[in-house]
Amino acid sequence: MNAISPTLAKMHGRKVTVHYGSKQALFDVDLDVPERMVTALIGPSGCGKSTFLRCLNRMNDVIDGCKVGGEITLDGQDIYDTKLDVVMLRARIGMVFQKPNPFPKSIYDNVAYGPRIHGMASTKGELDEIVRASLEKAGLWKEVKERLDQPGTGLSGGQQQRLCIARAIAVSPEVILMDEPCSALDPIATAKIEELIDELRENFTIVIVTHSMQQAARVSQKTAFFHLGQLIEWGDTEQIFTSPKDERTQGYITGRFG
Amino acid sequence: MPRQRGFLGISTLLGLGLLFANLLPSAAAARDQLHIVGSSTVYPFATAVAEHFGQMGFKAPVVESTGTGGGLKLFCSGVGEGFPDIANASRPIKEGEVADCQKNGVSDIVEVEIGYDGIVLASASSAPARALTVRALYLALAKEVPVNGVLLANPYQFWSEIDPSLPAQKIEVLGPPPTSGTRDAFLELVMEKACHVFPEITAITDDKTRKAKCQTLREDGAYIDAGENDNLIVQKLAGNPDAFGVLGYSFLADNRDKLQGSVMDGVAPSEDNIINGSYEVARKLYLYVKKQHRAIVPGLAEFVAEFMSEKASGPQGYLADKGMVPMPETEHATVKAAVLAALPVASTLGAGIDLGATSALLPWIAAGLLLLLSSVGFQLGRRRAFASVRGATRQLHSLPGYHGIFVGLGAFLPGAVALVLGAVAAHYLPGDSRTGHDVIWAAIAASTLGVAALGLAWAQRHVSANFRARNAVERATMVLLIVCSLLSILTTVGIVLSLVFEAMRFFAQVSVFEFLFGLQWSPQMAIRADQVGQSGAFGAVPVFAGTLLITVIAMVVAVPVGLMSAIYLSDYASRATRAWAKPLIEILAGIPTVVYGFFAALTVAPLIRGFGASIGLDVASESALAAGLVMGVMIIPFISSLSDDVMNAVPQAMRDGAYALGATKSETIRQVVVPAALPGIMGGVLLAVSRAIGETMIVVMAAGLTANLTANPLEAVTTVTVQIVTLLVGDQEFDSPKTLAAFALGLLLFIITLILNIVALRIVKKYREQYE
Amino acid sequence: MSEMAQPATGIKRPDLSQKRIRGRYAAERRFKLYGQLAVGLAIAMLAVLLISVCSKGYSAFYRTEIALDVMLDPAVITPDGKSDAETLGAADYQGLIKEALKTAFPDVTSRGDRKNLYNLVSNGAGNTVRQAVLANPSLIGSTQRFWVVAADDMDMLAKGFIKRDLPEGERVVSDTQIAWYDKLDESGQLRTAFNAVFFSAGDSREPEQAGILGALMGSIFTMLVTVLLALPLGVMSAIYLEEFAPKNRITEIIEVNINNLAAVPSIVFGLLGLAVLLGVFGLPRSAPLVGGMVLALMTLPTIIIATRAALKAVPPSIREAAYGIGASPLQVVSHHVLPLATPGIMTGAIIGLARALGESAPLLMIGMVAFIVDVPHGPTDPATVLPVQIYLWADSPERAFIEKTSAGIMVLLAFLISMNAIAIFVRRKFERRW
Repeated sequence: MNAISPTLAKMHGRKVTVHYGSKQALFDVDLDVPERMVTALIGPSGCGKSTFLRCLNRMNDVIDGCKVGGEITLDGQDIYDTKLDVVMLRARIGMVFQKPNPFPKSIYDNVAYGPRIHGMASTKGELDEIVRASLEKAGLWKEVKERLDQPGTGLSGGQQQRLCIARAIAVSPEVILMDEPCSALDPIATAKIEELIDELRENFTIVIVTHSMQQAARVSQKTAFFHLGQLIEWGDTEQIFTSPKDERTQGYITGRFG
Repeated sequence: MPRQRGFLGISTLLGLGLLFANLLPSAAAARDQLHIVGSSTVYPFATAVAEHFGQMGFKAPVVESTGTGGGLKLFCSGVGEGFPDIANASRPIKEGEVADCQKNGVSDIVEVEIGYDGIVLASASSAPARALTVRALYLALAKEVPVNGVLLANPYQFWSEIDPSLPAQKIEVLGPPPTSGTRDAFLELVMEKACHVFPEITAITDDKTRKAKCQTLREDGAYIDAGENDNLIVQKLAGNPDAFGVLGYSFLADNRDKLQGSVMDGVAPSEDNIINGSYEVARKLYLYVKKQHRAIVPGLAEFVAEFMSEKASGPQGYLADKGMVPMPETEHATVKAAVLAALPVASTLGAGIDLGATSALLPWIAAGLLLLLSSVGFQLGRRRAFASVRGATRQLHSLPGYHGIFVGLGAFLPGAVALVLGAVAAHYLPGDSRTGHDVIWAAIAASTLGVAALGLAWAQRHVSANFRARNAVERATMVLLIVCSLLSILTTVGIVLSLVFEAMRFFAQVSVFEFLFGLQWSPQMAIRADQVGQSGAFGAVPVFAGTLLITVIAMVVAVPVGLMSAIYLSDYASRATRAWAKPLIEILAGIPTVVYGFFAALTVAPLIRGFGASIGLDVASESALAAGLVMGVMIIPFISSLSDDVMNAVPQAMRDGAYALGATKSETIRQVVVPAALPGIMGGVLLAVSRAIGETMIVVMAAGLTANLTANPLEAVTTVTVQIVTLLVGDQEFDSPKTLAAFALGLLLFIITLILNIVALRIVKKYREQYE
Repeated sequence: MSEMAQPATGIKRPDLSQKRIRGRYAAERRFKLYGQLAVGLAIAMLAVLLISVCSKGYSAFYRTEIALDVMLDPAVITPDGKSDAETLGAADYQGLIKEALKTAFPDVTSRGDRKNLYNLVSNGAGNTVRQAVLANPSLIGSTQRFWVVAADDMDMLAKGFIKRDLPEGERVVSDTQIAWYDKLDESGQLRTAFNAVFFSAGDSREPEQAGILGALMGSIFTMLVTVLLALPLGVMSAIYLEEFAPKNRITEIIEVNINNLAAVPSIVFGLLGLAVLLGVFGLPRSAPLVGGMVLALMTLPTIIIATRAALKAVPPSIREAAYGIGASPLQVVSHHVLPLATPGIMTGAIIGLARALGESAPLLMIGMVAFIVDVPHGPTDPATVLPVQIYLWADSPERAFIEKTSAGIMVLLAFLISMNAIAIFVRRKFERRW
């Protein structure tokens, strides 16, 4: 299964297991995330794809009773090392959530929040520049440049999600995790986000969880199929969608179950 | 069956309504136990007699401590079961009060002298013994004293300045407030007596002016109004060796290990010295008995006889054990004989207007029959509904149960209205005789049932397959719900009306402007013709400033502690810690405020005082700091649970968003969660502020009565609620601005909390509009 | 892994300052510490309060008793030869006790000393003998040993609250009394026993005979009236406002008004009760009925607010589901929404009632600050309530009332804490997460 050599991969997962209390949610998942590519995680509801995604920047730490086993590395560093600085980890691995969750602050403050806490800008000018660049990269600048001081919650759903992406980009992470970023959006907003993901691939390593197989096919280069907490199959997107090796994958992508 | 349950629910509710309608008239019915009101000085003695009396086969009388004036006011307001039978007094009844009594038909009052109460100047037993003179006391406490031939504002700060033989200690006397009878006696027996030796005073020819000069106490902090609770004064004295306290002799007698009584003009305060008259700072105590009530309440004369018996108020009686100074034997015998003559015990055991058993039962029988009739209606309605479609319930518009409820209500509602109206009418009808009551109630019961039967018949006629019984029942229920929600409006209207009328009377005498902006509060206006008016200033600013000061201190404690605990418990603590810590903190909110009051007055205040003294700060015994700190502790759980709720309501997604950017936990909380929850937290804090402003018992016990306009938390200030309680619980006169001021304060307090709440709601609403 | 050459804590962003990160972590630790301090402080205050109350109050739960050999003189008990219960009950048992004391200390002769001697035992001590005689009239004529209640001063002496080393003039018991006490102690005629009277009697002017039951029953009746009024009225108005009321000016005013009432100082409700219930309707003073009504008005807004919150927490999907199958609005509420909201309503109601239970300020205004010996039997009997009883005891001159005050507080707190515990239990048991 180890199709890509470790040196090319940004992140490795080895024998990753997750327990919620006494319930096991992930079983020995081995998955590599290649650099500057989009990796899509697909599978039916409750298959563990989101759980795995949240393991990658240790967002599971926040959940009571969640235990992660196995090993996940970023550039060869074990990210579950007890001495590891979670804050720094998340500064390198950003995340965008299923539902847009802008802070109840102005658009500007939303984007500037990350750079501010990490002290990435020493002057107001630098900060302005980071905000502008991030919003531009997220394709939102033109729409909001006139109203940066208005609350981020006043934007439309699609705009809010792009604002959240801009907020993630502003910290200049290396990896961006996206947890079903389009599930709450209409087709037009979805299309915009997909376009954006394609552009971001040049600079960022992206892992995206999606329910839409079309979306996975459109935006990703690698696809992993999860089922009942196990990683069933993983490889180039084209290969997964055209000639899956496992019949469960076959069944899922042809819509026979899921 | 849910329909059955619905019927049960409705009938329980209606039954409850009936229960209360019935309790009200029966509560006002015959009384077989004496009701005694009045002086807090006589209270411990009257209660002791009451208890002995209760063991003699009578029901023990109910004794209320209302203050002499308040007691006489109640006593004089009428004749009948609703009015007290005996008033205790620590001073003789005034002419004005007698006139008031006459006006209300209380024409036959018997005055009974029961004994003496010595007024002592006590200090902590740890302090050196200090012999005082009335002259020194006068010079220490009068507002203006003669200095070299002229009256000047009292210049003395230390006892030694008055008399070199006295210690060089700051003058600090804790004593009763202007509303207290003890204070009147103190003014009369010490101040008035001492001032007449000064030629500057005797030179004043106008009686009133002279009296005013003699009896006006200084208001600069040397004399501290210390509330009506003498035990608190005892505790405060024990903790402050420099201070003197003006107390009743009984408190000295019972606290001899903590207190010493100062020798006055060479005579020590002792029982013997008070009886033989050599200790002159003593007054007589009285009972006023409403002779007309002999026929109304059983045991009136017997109670007085017990009170005057040798074993009670005699020189060796149990009242002497309770600290009353008894009359000498011969005097006691004379008084006793006179009283027994005026109030012969003999045959006339008050029969009272005993409501006959029928009258007492009739309301209940009527209510029971009404409920029975209603449930019969329910069954009839249901049957008829079934019958109208010959059991094919699907053809009914509404389920049969609804038809049942409809008919049941048809019987109940008119019946209940008739019963309640009847009860109200019976309450106001002059029913002097037993048969009269029986007749009235029989009529009420009959009309109730008649009306109910008519209603039943009317409703029963409506039942048919197409009748929309459910809609009718639901409409009735809706009306009930609306009426309930209007009750809160009614409460507010009641509050406002009960405050506004009295406040209007107040503002007729004191201008609104003076009340709102005046900088001096000293409600010591003469309330009786013979009492000397002090300045009588009604500027509410210092009172509100005091409230504000204590509230601010409370908030300084409660907001950070409450907010931080909420944050810790909601975001940091483990589930297990949260499970025990949160309820523990919530207990703080449940602790009765009386308990906090004691804690503040007896534990916290002396601690602060002691600490202040150790670093050379002068802290008042009743510092705003003590009351504020303790109130802050009480408020902590309000803030913590309210902010906990609003912070929990901030979606997890918001926190995730911040974490995903690499924010630490504290950054997430401080910069994302708290700002998002801020309006909710603000609303909670404002609610807590209004709770603090309205808090009464803590400040009644721990804060002062003197209205200082200061921002120094180490000084004593007074609050709105303290003033309301003192003005209404002490010696009072309901036409005087002094008493009416309480209502004006209450009104202002209500308006302020109203504004705070409206602001709080606005903030919360604005926040919702912005972020939802 | 091939790239393990990097340091162990290697997740770094070279572009971010390490110093700043250390600073941020320090801030994090400080913040957490503040939180711990705050919780610690709040709990410490609670502990200080409870400890100070309990340390002062626990001694009220036991009392000192004195053994006396009482001659049950038929001449005193059955003077005219009749031994029916009425004659037996009315006899002067306290006199027999006094005789017994005289016999025990034959050398006391002067009148003043005799009085001091009689003051060793409570003046309710005769009741012990009375009960024994009533239970077993055959005892009459014999000499029996009775353990009778000591007077409060002796009790205080036994409990160490009266210091013997003070000069005689500074204590409430005289040297001779102490000598008698010591003599009794030596001969084994003193013991401490559980103070059952405290839980079975009403108020008394004699601390050793004073009990909390009267106030407890008063509180129970008052609370009963409060619950019966406030709960149905509160829940019904909340249902109307939350589920049915149109959103217009009037309902907005009602809403503001209810929130405002929740914060109105309790003493103002007392003023309302004084003016309306006593003044206009002429209801009796000192009755739990009136107290309960005043407290119900005070509790109503709390219950309305809690009920509305609980109703709001029931997800709209439940309502939609019920509407979807053709239930009427009232059916939706009574069959689905209300049952689901019940735990929330109960919690809110219990908390509101707990507050009413501890409330005393409004009751000061309507005459419930009264001395009442008889334990009330119904909501129209004169009664006082626990917090007021505490307030009254605190104002009594006798030293022994200090421990009674604290013991009263302990009873009230136990009552309150158990109410809170029930609220927590209800919350835990029925808590639902949507």
